[in-house]
Amino acid sequence: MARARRSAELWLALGLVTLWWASKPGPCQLLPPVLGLDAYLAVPPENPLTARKSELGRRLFFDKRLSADGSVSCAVCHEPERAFTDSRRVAVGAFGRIGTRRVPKLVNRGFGTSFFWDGSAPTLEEQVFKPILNPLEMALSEGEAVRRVRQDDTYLEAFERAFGGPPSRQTVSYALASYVRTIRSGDSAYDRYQAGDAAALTIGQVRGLRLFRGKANCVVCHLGPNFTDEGFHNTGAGWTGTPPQDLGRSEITGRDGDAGKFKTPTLREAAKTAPYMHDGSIASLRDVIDFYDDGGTENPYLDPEIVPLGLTEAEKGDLEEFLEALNGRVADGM
Amino acid sequence: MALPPAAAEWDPGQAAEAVWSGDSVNLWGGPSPDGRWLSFVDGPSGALALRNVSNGRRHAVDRPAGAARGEFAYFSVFDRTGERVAYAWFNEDGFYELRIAAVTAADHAGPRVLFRNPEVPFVQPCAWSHDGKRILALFFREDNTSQIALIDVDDKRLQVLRSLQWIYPKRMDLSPDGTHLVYDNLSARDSEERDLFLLRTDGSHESPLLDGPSNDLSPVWSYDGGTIWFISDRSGDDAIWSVPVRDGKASGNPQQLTGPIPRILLMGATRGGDLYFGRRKGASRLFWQRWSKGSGPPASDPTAMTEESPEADRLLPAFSPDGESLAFLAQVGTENQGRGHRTVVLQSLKTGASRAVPSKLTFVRSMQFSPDGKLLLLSGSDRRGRSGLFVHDLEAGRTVPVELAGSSNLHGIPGRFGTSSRSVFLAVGDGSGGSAIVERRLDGGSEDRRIMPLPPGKRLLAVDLSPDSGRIALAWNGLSGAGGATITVLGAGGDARPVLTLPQGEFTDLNWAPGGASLVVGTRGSSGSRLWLASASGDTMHEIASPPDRLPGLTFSPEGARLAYAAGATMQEVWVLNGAGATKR
Repeated sequence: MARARRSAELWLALGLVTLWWASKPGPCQLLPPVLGLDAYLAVPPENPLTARKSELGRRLFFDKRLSADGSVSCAVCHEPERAFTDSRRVAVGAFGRIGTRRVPKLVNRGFGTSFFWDGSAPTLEEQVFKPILNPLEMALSEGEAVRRVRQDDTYLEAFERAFGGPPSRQTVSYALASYVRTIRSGDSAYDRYQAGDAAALTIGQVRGLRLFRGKANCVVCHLGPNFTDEGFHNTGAGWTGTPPQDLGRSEITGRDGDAGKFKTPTLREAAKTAPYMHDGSIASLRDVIDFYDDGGTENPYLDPEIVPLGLTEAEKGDLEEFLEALNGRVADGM
Repeated sequence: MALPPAAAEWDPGQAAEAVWSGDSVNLWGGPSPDGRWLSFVDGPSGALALRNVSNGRRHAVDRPAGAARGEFAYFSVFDRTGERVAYAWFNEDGFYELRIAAVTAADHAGPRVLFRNPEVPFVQPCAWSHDGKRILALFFREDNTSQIALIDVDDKRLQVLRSLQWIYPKRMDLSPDGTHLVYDNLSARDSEERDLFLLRTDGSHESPLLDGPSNDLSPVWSYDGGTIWFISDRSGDDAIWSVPVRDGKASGNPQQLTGPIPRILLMGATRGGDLYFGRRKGASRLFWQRWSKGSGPPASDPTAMTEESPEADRLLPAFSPDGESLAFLAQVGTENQGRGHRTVVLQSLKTGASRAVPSKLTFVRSMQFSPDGKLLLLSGSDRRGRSGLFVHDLEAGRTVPVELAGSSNLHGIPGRFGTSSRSVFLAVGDGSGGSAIVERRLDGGSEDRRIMPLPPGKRLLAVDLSPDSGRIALAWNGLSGAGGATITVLGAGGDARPVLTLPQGEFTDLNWAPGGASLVVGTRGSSGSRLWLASASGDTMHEIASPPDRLPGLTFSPEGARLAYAAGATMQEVWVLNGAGATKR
């Protein structure tokens, strides 16, 4: 009898230890490797990446309760099947409110160094809560957003397991940022070609790649594994008059010279994420190529690298074909 | 003026000693763990070789047979047992591959290729893991991305840890326990200062090693794991420093180990804590010789145009059209060392005053003033790693590409101004795999004017327009030094005529001589660097006396009375800082 009791106590103690261990936030976990992407992912030390946070962030990402009228979740605009953007010209938020800029793709944002088209958020942790507060997007107050999360017992349990405490603005942001970090696109035909598989690209795509790096000068901004310099450039897109309707980066820096500058987006998954540019003003990839071939839109702050390219129609076709090779495997979660 | 002030000659003190000096020294290898051997590239053969540090004897590791095809070894590093070397090899297809080879004579297996990919045309092995199973290497891709990666020695699997866009570390090293690597990188996007970073080899974390505004680079990790040596200017001039490390971070303050040492590069450490480093001495400078339009060849000994400086090489002179200024390239520091190391300088020939030209190019192959003196035409590659032909506006301080090569070769695209400053002659791809010489208007106002197609299988070195603008001279070299270098003159009627062919060696220069009756041609081959005067018809050719250490890049003064070029030899030395690992920490 005594032996059975001691055994039960032992099992109980073991169970309690397991529960305690399971409730610990845990050390930073690694994402599985993806062909074409770096193993290193900048993760802030205060928010180490864990599967629990990522999974919790995914739930929040798809939860329409985080919008004022319950109609919009992050995923409504950032559709997983469209490389985490949508097909509209500009964002449409709660109550059908029309935004001012195109919904950015979220693939590979974990490799980013600033966020939003104007770079107004320096970290993913800071970025992810802002759409919840934006009146044109999800239109909630901070308090209301946190209250709605706290009302759900399953969230309380999940936050306890992921963070060791109840939901707060910080932990909601941390969870969402952790999830967004797991959204990656790689293993494209281009990545296989880059890794040494010479047959991975068609002949036209190889020609397009040469143009991309050479005559078309795309690589001046769209470079590296993620096809972006993480910089801000004035291409003249959306510039319809001086001053332009959307000042872009200069709204953040206050510098006139930054007027009309917007973040260089990744070109991964570009072929399936029309329309293009920060304002969604260009309908197709071919139109984008024509836009750059014409030297962008003339304006006082046009980037000096944006000049007429003199591309032939065949070259434009090759470039477009190459861009299609940047469609890869989009995966999220851990 | 961007050049640093001349520093006092370095006093090595007691701790450091020179272990190798002379003509054949290069700094692309490193010491064996026991300090007995130094890997290096055997200049004449291009083979990877080992030098016995104590008696100077050498033996080849890789077979030198590839030299005839233009192949050669480059950066190398010993494994932690001293039995194998990993090294870069410039192959017959014109790009670098990663090889490993046993250093023992008993092993006749020959080198093994670990990585070969034309999309990644440059590779630099930096360190072996302690167990010899992985190699830390720097890869540079055709899209101008540099990548820090580990490659598995057995299955050749590549793990890319970190991409750094067009910026690349000057040196990297692994911790002995294999958990971390240390590398240097620009501290910010537009900075020229470098910092040291520690990156976990599973990619999970990265952090800067040290704080402060100084320029820190070229890290070497000690065998006991407790010290990282590096070069820093935190006391004003470049010197060797060390910092104690534990658990992936600095565990104490950095400590200066030497006095100032100009033009230094760390090469590696031994198990016993001796630190090997290289330094450069001497420099090239600019000279001119008188030129007689009537009789041609120079009638005087070379006269120095720039002062001698142990700090910087001067290269690629270009006279302004009014003859009052000279542009040239100043190269500061050791070849593989960072920080503003190549600067275009504009110097007044009247006052001697000079200023740095903000060309934003990191490599310059040729330089020419526009006829109106307002622009510089530069062939090379820019800070974004883009290779091509660029125009720099001297008044606006802006550089824009005329044509980009679409590959990561550093040499750019040859080009020359025509009679006006509004157009240039250059080689461009024709969209179907071939290429052609065209005249391009810089204002983009019209389509390129096609001059002539270029033959396949050759590399265009230079194009030059005759003084009367009626003829174009073109110099080609064979790919990978394979021979068949040719100069062709294209006449006003469109007839292209080969006027010179080199069975061996290659051309280094091509300029029309004043008057337009002849060409001044530089060659490089087994007999060294030589200069020739050839009639434009190719009928006659004779050698012009020139310094044996003359470097590529010729220019005539506008009135045609002076020929200018760079000459001079830079010497390299290998030093060892004995017992660097025994310093206090």
